[in-house]
Amino acid sequence: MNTFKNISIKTKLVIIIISTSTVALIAGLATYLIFDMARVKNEMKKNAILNATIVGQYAAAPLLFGYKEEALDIMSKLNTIPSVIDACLYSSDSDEIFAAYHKTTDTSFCFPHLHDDEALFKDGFLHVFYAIKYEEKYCGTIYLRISASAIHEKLRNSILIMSSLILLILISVFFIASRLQKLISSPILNLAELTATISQNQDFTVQLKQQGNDEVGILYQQFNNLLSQLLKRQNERDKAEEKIVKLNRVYVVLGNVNQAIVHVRKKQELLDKICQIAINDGNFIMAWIGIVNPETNKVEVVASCGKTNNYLDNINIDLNNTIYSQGPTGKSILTGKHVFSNDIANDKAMIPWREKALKNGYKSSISLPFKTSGNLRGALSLYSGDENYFNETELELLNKLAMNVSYALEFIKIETERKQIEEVLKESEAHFRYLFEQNPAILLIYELSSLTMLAVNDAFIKHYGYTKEEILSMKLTDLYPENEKEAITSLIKKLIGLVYVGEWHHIKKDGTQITIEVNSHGLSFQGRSARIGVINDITERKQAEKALRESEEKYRRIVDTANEGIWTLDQDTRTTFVNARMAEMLGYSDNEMMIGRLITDFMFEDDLPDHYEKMERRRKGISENYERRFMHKDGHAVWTIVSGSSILDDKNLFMGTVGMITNITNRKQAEEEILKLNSELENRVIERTAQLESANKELEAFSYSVSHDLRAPLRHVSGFLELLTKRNFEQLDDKGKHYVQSILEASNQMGVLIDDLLNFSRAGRTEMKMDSIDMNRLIKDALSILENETMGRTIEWKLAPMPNVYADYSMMRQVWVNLLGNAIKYTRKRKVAKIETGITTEADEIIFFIRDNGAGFDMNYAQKLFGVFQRLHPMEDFEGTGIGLANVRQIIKRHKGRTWAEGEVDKGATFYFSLPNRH
Amino acid sequence: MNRNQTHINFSLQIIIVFLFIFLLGSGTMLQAQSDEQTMKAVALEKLSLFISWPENTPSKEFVICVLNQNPLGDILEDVYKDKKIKDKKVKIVKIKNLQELTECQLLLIPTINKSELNKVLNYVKGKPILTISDSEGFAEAGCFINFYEYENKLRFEINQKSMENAGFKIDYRLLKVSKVINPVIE
Repeated sequence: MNTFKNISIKTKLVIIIISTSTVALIAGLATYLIFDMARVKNEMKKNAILNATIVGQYAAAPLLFGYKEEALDIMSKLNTIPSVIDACLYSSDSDEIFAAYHKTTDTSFCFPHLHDDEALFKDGFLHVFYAIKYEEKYCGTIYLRISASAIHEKLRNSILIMSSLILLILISVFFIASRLQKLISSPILNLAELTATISQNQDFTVQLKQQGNDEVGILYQQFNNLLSQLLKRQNERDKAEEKIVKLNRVYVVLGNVNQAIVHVRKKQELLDKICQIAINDGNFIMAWIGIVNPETNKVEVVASCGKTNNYLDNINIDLNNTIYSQGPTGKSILTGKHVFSNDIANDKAMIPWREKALKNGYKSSISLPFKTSGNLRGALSLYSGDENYFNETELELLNKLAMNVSYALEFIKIETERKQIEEVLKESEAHFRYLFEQNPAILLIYELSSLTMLAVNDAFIKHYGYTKEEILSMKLTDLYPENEKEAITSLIKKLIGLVYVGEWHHIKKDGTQITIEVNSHGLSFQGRSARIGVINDITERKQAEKALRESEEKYRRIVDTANEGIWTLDQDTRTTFVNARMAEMLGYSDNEMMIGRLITDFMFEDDLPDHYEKMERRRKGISENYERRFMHKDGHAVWTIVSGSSILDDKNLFMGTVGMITNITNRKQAEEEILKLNSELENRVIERTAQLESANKELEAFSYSVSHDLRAPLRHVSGFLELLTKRNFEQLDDKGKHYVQSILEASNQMGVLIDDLLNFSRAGRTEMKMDSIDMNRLIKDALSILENETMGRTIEWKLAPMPNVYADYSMMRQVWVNLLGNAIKYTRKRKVAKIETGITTEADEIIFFIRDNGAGFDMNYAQKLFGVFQRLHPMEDFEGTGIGLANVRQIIKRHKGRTWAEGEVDKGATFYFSLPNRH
Repeated sequence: MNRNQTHINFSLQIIIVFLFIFLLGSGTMLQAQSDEQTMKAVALEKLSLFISWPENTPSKEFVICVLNQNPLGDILEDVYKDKKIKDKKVKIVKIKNLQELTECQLLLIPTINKSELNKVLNYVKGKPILTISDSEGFAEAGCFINFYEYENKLRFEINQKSMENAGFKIDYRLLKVSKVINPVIE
């Protein structure tokens, strides 16, 4: 049903009409059908009964007489009635079927029992029972079973026809209804539409067009009435709303201005804010605040907001001027009451400003004056774009506003003044506090009567080590040592109002006692009478004084007891002080005799130039030691060493000199002696050297000739031995062979020894050909020389690159041959011999090394290594003459280098030699 | 019992059975015979339904004359003791000869010879008396209605012309179920 409510009227009407029609049609036709059907049935019944009667009558006789044949025959005539499906006759004396008839071959029908007269529709058949009476004698009953299918078919047909008919009718009804419903729906729809439009647009000015005088017409009329009433009310409400809005705005302005007053403490800020609020919340076009300049008596613009353009420039509200003071602003200030102009265009008072005002769109304005207890006078002026803007209700509020502003300004003034005072006070307090707290001098304040500590500054805390809390809980006397407490207490009693300076002792927190100088006077502190003391810790000073005294003493003693003479001169080289020793040195018994005299009085003439030089240097501040000859009182020279220094004042200006003078007369003598001895010695050395040289030369010649001469016979021996071996070796027996072999070996050995000796001696004599040589190539050469030795050997070479050195080529080669040869030789017993060469560069020398993993040596005998004929290994193990390393040493020595070695038995050896670094 | 006795008993039984059947049969026959007569008697009433006498003589009784001791007479009395014909009480009169024939509506003629039949028929000619016989050929001879048996059923033949000539009206329905002798063609 709800959905039905929501369908449009049009549809509703159509639906109603159609449904009504449908119902009517169906009802009507159905009723017709029913009746028709009943009629048909009745007809059928009548027909049937008639047929039954007829046939029954015919069958009466056969029934009576029991003639079945005839009866059957008559029954068979029933086939003329096609609707009779089955029929039978019941005889009068029994219920049994007398004769039966079947229309079709289907004889299955079971005839019902004998029944009284009836014609019944049952199971789609009409069953007729008719008692056959002849002459009032009951002969029997005839039963007919008539098919009612005809009826059904007829019914079906009728329904079909009816339905189609109904449909057609309904369709036409639909069209007609659709058309005719407009008569009702369109005015209603129209109304609905209009209502929708009106409520959407809130436009109550619309009036409906009259549409007839029926209920809808009346509705229209009433609707129009309603609209006009609504319109009236709307207008009234709009007006009221306007009023409220306006009033609201003023309230908002008032409220916000009050807020501003509460929150803003600065005058200018407040005035600006008020103007802003007036514009933003009050919806005025322009607002400005003017303050009267007491000197010029003109109103000056101090704050403004909104569309001012150039209205406020040269607004010239001169309170002295009769015309210019009569505008709303001026008048309000003068009268102290609000003045408004609700129609600027026509207001005479606004004439001076009218043009500008109207150009800016100001239609009405109001000025609200305010004043403070001082001579501050001013007004807030508001401008609106509507005429007649200002009326009673607003005026009240605006006046309140002006009052609030006045209060605010008053309040601000007072506040400002108070703040200023406060500031001053604070500043002075801060000053004092600063003075007290930050003062580098130790300050304390104590109460006079109780001696309780009232205040201490940071310097006190830092110096004494107490915390502020601790000290403020103490008394003054707590700072004093036990023996002074009484004294200070009694002293203070006498000090009331007096200034005092005194020396006392105080004890720091950590227990150390300090000497202090106190400077105190009385004051009022926190309402109590107290004393403030400036404490000066003079412990150090005292100590310094003591130290100075002691030092003075010390120095006096030193000076007096010094072994040296001390002579001080002023700027003019006059003696200001000599000590006893000095005086004594120069033969004066009393230093008095020297004081005040020039130093030059005590010097030899020859020395004066040098002396003046030295004095110059002294004046420059240069201190130095030098020898100086002074004149003894007796006139003889006293040799001294002077250690002279300048005396400079704190500005580094020359004040004089001081000299420490040591008598070296004795020493001088000794020196002369030495010199003499030295020259003697030199001569002797030259002699010796010559001797040595000649000796050397003899030695060289000797060794040369020796070796040479030695060689010759040796050559013979080995030569002939070889020949003998070649010739007669076979002839010898084993012992003999052994003897020969031994001799050969020994002679070879001797040869080698001699060679080495020769080399050695040669090496000692030969001139050195120094040149820049490439060590790497040198080593390579050495190695090629040692080829025989390296053949068939597994040797791991690690040859580091070497620099060029300044040396004799062949000699250095000899060095490498010897060293490398040794390395190769002594690693013979190793499976893999490791031989390494390398360098280390020092500042003034290059150190070369050759390391092997051979037999090594006992470090205890390292010294002997480089000695001539010195060998640390037996001949059986390693052959050699023992000259190789001696050679190396000699060569390196001639190169001004050093040789040394390191080794460990069976762990290998490292041989080092150094050559001077030419860079 | 010995075997012989049984044998004798059995035969006896058979004989008894046969006797019974015979008696029953004969009884039936007898019955049948009497049945036939009864049926004829009953038929009379039925017939009369379809027939209308020439002048509905307002006689109180429906008289049936039975000629010559027609055995039918006895039965008639039984049958029509309580029954009415033509709504009248039935009186059965047994007559020996024609002279005794007085007022009667129905005359039952037994099997007599032709000459006698003619005599009778002539006697009743013109009188509203329904002549009924049950002998062959009697309907042709002039009896109005003659019973005969056909297919075990009692049938009758009607001499329509004679009857109608005598003023009797016969319902066509009766005619339909009877053998019509001398039909009247219309």
